[in-house]
Amino acid sequence: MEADLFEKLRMELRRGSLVLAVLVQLRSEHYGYTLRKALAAHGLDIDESTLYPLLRRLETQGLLTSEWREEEKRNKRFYRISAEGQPILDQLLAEWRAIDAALTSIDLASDTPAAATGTNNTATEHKES
Amino acid sequence: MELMDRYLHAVKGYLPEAQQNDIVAELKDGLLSQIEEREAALDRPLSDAEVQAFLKQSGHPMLVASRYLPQQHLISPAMYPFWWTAQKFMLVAVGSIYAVLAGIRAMSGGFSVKTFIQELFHAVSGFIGTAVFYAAAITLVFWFFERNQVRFGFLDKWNPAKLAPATDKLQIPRSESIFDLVFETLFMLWWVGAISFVTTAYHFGKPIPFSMSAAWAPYWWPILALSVGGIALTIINLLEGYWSRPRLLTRIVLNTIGISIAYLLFQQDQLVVVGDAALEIGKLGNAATFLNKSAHGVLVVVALIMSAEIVSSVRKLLEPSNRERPRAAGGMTA
Repeated sequence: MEADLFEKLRMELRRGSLVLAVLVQLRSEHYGYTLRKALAAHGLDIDESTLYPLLRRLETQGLLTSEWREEEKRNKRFYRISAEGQPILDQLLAEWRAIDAALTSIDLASDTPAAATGTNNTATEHKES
Repeated sequence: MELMDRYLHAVKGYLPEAQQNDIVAELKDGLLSQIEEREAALDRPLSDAEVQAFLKQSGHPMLVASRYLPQQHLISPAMYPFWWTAQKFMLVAVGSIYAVLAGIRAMSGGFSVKTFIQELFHAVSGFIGTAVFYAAAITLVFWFFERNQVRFGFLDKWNPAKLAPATDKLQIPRSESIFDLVFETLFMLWWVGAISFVTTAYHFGKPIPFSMSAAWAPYWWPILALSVGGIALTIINLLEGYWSRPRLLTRIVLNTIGISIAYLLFQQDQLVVVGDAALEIGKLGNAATFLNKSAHGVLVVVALIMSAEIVSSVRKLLEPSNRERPRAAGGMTA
């Protein structure tokens, strides 16, 4: 039960992050398989069944462009971030960094003994010191 | 690679025709790249069993294809609460109509266990059929809203000040208790003969004097006791405006007795006696027959009101806060 709940929350957390990671990685051109490998090399594993529909959705939304080309004797579809996608990616990255900074700050604040024991105790500690 | 072709063919079957080839070509390249990677690591070709295991790990063809489809739901999570509210309203409305119709039919044909079961069966089967139809119709309407991204105006034009006050379901409004007390007292005074109400009906200005028949006589004391019990309960409610378990149980008992008396009276043909038994009142036919049918109708309405009060009491009994009710200072113990 707890494991299921964790998995559900983890998936929710990952969903938005994956879009961001894919857009960042596609600043340079990739086809599905190499994109997956590149993301995995940075520690972000993603299933093919999730990645390919996501690429198509982002392309439909105008954030990516794609073209079929032959490479290693097989036709492959190469993706790259579009001109319209780049400014949106910049905004999303700024948003992501703001969220990351806020979360880190909240986490640090709640980790300090003063915060854990409450404001009144903090005040007392100040007086005693 | 026959297994791979079969797998991709199966996926293709679930995809929109316009995108089938494009998606399958890309999927095939991805799967082949992975297989090649594994073969390179093992330094040998994969066996059929290994390819089979790999494809199985990739997901059921229907599931894989479904991720490419634009809309994965009939009703979105955002729309769901409105859809469910509409369904609940529909279920209550249809259920109430069938319950009332079944009650009227069961009573009007002369009550018996057989007719009761028959009417119950008809009502339940009719309710299921109608409810399923309307549930599907509501779902279709919401699906249309979903597809066309219809926005409900009231979601933007609402006013917090117009929201219903946050009331406790176990709270008894003082106004309700006062109204009940006045009504019940008037009824009791009329019942014991202290005051008299209408004893004459009029049809186009023509007086039709009537009185209650002897059928009521055996129930005079029980109805009086019921009336006194009701007044006592209302007075306690007025003093302590919060439903307690004992009072809810008392209300259920009083209403059950009331319904039983209404049922017994309903069995009587003559509830009202008209001065001139042969008096005709136009299209309404015989005055006595009409007034007696009306009296039977009133009994059905009274029984329905009492049934509703029983249902309401049971629901209140099941309220978790009923068990955690903080006692009001100086309140009565009932």
